[in-house]
Amino acid sequence: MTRVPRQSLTVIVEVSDAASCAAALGQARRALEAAFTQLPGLHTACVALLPALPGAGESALLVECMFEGSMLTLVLALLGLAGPELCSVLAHSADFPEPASARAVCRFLSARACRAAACADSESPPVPAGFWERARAVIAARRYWPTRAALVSVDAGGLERRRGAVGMQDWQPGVPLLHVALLSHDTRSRARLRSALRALELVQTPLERAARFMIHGQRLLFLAYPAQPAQLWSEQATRTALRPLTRIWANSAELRISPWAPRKRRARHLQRFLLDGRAPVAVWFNAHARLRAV
Amino acid sequence: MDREDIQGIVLHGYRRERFARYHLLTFGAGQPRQMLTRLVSDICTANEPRAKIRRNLALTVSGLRGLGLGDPEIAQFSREFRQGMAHPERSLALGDVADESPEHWDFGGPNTPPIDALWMTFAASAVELDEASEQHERVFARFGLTAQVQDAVLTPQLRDHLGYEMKPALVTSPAARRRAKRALGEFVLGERDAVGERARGPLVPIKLSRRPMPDWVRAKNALNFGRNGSYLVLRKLQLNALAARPGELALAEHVWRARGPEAALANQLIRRSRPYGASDDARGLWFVALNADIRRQFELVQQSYFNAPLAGTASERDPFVGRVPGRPGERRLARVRGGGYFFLPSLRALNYLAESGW
Repeated sequence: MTRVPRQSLTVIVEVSDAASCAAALGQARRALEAAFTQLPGLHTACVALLPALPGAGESALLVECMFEGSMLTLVLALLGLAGPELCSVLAHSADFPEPASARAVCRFLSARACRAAACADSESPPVPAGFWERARAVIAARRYWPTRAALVSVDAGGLERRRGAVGMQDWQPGVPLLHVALLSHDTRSRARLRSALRALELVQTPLERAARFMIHGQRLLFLAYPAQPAQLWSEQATRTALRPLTRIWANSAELRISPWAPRKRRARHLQRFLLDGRAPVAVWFNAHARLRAV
Repeated sequence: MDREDIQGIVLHGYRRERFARYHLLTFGAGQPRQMLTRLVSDICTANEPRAKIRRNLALTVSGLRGLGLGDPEIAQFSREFRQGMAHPERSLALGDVADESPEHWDFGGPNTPPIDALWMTFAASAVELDEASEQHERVFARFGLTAQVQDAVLTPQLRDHLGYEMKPALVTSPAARRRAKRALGEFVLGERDAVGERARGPLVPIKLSRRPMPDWVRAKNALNFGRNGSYLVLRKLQLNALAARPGELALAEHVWRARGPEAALANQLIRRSRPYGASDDARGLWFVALNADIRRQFELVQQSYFNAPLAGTASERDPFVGRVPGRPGERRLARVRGGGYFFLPSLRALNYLAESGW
């Protein structure tokens, strides 16, 4: 039996009116989740409204899915099952095609697809790389440790609301962990970040199924579908992949962590950063979640 | 470690003082500060080995507000504590749903009077306990506070209703005891924790004072209110009427789950639980635990170890307090009848509250 290759699609689009988009997501949630469960070959899916961060522009809409087969087939099936709901959400971004035919939606999504900057997926085949290339990437990531992070003023009320929304869905099995961090404005930090992401890709740290980093403007996104509750998962992840994760997130202005601190302390700071910076997801589907009764 | 400043229940299990009485206080329109001023000298520190009666006081967020702390000071406490155990978010995290949701609780829920403070009295005999409680109740009544009274008794053999030995889960071996002493900050705020850090704050302003105070207080003109305090978790667990004693294997699994797969100190609790009741329909356990971080310690154990499948365990959930799969709100052996998150302040912090901010 031949296995159909697994594909991933991540689209991030700016939205003009975050409040009405959130309302539309709330209304479309049930229909979209029901449609996701019926789509053949869909592994994971998630739709979330990324919060507006200081210096990172307005809110944006994240649509992510991992599936088998062609994208056109998937979009066609999704439009057949929950077409009006999907269009009502996507219509909040500029240039959304009218009328929304399957091909037009496909073109719209493809044009805005965002490539994962680094994947830490235990199931993906390892990236082919020679010993020296791998060593160079690891050394480069080690060399460029940011020494001073810029201070950022975070909206305390907005952060509290985000934490509340995450807390209300934290108990559900299979809920995606979406972390949003603000990148430093320092130009060298981008180079450091890319080195660290490349090192993560080459060293193949097995974090979780389909765990990936994405860069969108000043935002650094991390998305994973943990098999365990977030608190326990983050504790284990920060222990097993402390170095690569710290090197990546140290380029965010929000994480202040000293490279000279003891390992356990760095792990605890990183875990707190990971848990506190999560953003709630509006709609999700995880075919690999072990469904448990409440 | 400043034993004179830490409340006794943090470091001692009070095994000799087998009889306990919990007063769940509601301040209402009363005068809680006057009550505290009157009773603060009775509160037992960790440095009183010969005290006959042990008294400790823990406060909820509303209690701290009632005693004069403002929003900027309250905002520095942990988010879980500020929300309280009956908050919907915490209920979902702890699995308190359906029949066990806070709406059905005997105390601490939205349909019962708010709990502002927990006054705990421990004595070696029932007579001594009654005498001490009578005095306290007179003071509560004098200052307009209402109290719900709940009793708990340790058997001479220190065993619960199912015959299991009651002992703090943490201190099981000399090595564990040494480890816990080195990382006291996992249970007492302001001490060094397992990663070598000290929790700072919440800081409260010093207004006007003539009393002698440590240099760090004078230098910052602020008191580290959290220092030598701890977060106390209270849950009333009622045994199911037909609960039978599970086997030794189930007990081993429960202990293993409570300690966590890696037995990391950072996820452990100090337990001060006591059984209550004698008749079959009203017996159970007052679960009392102390920790420095409610989310990382108590809630992690409850959510990820008791109510989730763990590799290497025989059953999907904890055989004692894990929820029954497919039956919302039903637990294996016991059901939750009430609870709350409290802060157990240091003696210095209690004096600060009693004297209106020094």
